[in-house]
Amino acid sequence: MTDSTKLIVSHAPFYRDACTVMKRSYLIMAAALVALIPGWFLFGAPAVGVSALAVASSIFWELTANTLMKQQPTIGDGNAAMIGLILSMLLPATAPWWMVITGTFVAIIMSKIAFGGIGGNPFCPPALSAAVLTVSWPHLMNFNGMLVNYDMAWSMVDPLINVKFFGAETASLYPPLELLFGHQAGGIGAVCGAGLILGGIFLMIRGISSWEICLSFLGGVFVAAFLFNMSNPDLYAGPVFHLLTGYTLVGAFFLATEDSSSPVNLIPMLIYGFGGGMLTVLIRNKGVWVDGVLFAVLLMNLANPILDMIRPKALGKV
Amino acid sequence: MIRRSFFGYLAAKLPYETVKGGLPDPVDTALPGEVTLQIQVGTDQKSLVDKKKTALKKGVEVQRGALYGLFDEETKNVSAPVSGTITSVETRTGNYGRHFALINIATSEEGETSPAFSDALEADTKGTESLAFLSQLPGRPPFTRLANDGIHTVILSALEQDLLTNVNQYALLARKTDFKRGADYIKELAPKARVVLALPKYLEAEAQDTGCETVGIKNLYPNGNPILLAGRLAGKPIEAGKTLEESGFLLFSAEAVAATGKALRTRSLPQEKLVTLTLKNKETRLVNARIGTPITQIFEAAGETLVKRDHLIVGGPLTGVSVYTPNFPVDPDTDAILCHGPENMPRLTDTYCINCGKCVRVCPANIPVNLLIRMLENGLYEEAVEKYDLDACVECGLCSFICVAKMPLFQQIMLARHTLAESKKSAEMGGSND
Amino acid sequence: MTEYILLAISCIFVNNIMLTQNLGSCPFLGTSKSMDTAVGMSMAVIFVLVMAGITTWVVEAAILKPMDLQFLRTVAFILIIASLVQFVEMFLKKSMPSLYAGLGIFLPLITTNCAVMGVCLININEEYTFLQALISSFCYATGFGLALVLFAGVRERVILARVPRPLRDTSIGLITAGFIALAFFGFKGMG
Repeated sequence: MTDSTKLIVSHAPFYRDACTVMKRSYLIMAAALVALIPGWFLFGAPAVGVSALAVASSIFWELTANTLMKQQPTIGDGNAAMIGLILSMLLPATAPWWMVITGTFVAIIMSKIAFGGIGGNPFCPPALSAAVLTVSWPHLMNFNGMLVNYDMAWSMVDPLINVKFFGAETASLYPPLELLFGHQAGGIGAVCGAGLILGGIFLMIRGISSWEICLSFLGGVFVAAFLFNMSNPDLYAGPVFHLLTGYTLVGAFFLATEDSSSPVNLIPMLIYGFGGGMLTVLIRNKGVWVDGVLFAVLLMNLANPILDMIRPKALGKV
Repeated sequence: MIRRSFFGYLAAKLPYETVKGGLPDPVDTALPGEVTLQIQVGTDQKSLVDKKKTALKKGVEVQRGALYGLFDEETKNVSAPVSGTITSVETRTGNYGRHFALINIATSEEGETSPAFSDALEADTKGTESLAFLSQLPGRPPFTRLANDGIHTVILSALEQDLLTNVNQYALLARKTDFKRGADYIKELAPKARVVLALPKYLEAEAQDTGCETVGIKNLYPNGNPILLAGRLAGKPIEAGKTLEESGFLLFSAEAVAATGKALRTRSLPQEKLVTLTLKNKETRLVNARIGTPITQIFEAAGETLVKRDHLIVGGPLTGVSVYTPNFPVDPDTDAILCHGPENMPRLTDTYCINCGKCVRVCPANIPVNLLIRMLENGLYEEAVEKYDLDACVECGLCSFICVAKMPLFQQIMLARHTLAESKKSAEMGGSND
Repeated sequence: MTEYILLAISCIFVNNIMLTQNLGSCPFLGTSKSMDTAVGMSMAVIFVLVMAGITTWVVEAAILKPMDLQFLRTVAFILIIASLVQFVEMFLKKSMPSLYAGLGIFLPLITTNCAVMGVCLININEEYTFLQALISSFCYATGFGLALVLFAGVRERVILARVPRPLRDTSIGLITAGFIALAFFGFKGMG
């Protein structure tokens, strides 16, 4: 039966969906750019520098790790660049270069490579890295201090700090429309609410960020902020303010939805997102931290393996 | 061929081929000079074949339509599709350690059809011998098992097993009278069982006059999967880890039913298999080929030549098997044959599961594939069955199709199931020796 | 009432005995490789810690303090905890064999769990009332159990990942534990 024409064999299936890890990473980066570009225009060249350095150093760390571990380079899948870009969204425009490089080291080496590379990380790398930076150098992650030299037509006091220390009436200094267009102090990619929402909708309809997590996260923030606001309107700002300030939108669309640290079934996703949103507002209003998104995302990452145990029964199982 | 929606949160829809655009005209393939018969054999039998201790061996004359036994004359399990002389008997090992005996028969010109089948029908239309003949029909109808106790539902399926084929839909429509005759015969054989015709929704009106209870089903992959089909007809999914037969179901493909009808009508065994051929330029055509015809001849007739490093797939793009030689024969259950060049080879990677969750959403059996694959990668097969429902898999291959990291998910699952079955078998053998 | 709720939140999350005060890290790393053992250990700790918390508080208030024997506190508490664990073990073995079988090896292991001793001493140092000591013992134990179960969930996945060989097992466990502690930092300032 055999003859000289040797054919290639492989295992089924022989058709494959065209989506790859690389495409996924690039689409996420495209969505992130929608929010980052307005940030670059607002904060100027230093902001572009921070983003560029973050992406470059992320790729450098991953390549170094690959070389040291004698692996095939994995930078081609775009995941390292994506992590760097998302991390740069969280940093202030004037972040010193060594802080950016340390941040990407934590994000790439400590929270991704140490856990076995893409897919193994139990925590969202950019969120973990930003949390490490916040805890290590609180003054460098404080947007009031870092953005003091920016003289804009609007208040350059971090709205969250204002509300936290001077009461909820200061929230009226920040009309929602202004917040949407990035007229506030904050991370490079976190200020422009409109860009984040556009990017987030793009990711949701493309099925890259699961809409269940994004929307339930925002829902959690809204409900918790609404309840706090109802209980004491003088002390706690309203839900719309909480949705549009700080890292809320970045957290909902880019951090909480990170693949390997978020659940995949419907009910766990809803609990995960809602819990993250609630914790965000709880930490903002009750804890010592100005912004609770990073810690809320990390705490929900922690609960992810347990949440993922809630799943539909498999076919034919009793 | 497979359209992907821009809205990524929707699952990719994989429709089966249809016969909506009018019935295709099957092209007949010329009688081949040599045919090959494949018979699955056990490991112990394989060594017998290798040592040439078979009844069918080089030089034996066979007659078209007659039934032969590979090892002795008692258990007849192979019908010759042509008359001629056996030139050689070889073995081959397929996926997951399945062994096959290959019988090559050189066709002689003056082939007379053996009267054995019509004799058997004369003797007893429903006798064991007739059923043994009928089990050799295209589509491999499981007639010999129809008499088993506990078979409560017989599914006649006009749904396809895989994409890129429409032979069952064609057989139902184009051979309606034969189909009706075959279905009536099955009903007579299994008077207590419920006989249901499962078919794509759009064909429901056409199937009124077959006299069967019909169930219309959306023409989307993997609805034609036997286990899913049985679960749908029974109203509740069949128990995980059980085969179709253990749960009391038998599945006849529409082509097999039509062939049965034709066999009863003409009193001779039809041995022409309908195959949907997909060429390198994605063109599909329906061909009629004698069982055992080397695939390369079918492609030649269609004007396609297979060259080195091409990819030849037998049985459909999602669950089929790729074969190593273009001389591979057409089996009685080969519905689809496709080929493509090396540039269309699916690329697999060694990336770890990125936990995107697409496989979980697409899985028809609700298996937590993202956790399952983590277990399988580490070889924890027993734990995978206990905790992550490996036994519930219906083997549709969709998880592997959709996988973003391009992992060999389906292969891992099949390997795990094979390994578990092997260890179970050896445990049983060890137990009986004690 | 609010005071007790705040105490409970503080003990479970903010001053988590494992993640903030770093007590009880041996069982934290030792029993977290699978979810089942983690749950068993958590239950055992909750049970023993509540018993030990109450007993040591009573001993302190009724014997050590009136007789001015506070310098014997460490020795006395160690004795109490060790014998308590033994008693509990014998009692369970006799009366509730199913629970005993469920807890298994974890019961005797708790004798060496510094979290138990730590909480008993915290109860005395903070001069808690009996009710406060009861709540704090229970909530510290719950916090330990929570951290342990969450850690076990994460660790079950990390074990299956392709962790570089030098980092396998305990090293990556410690790194993960550090990150979990970082996540619990978020509760700082509450309660």
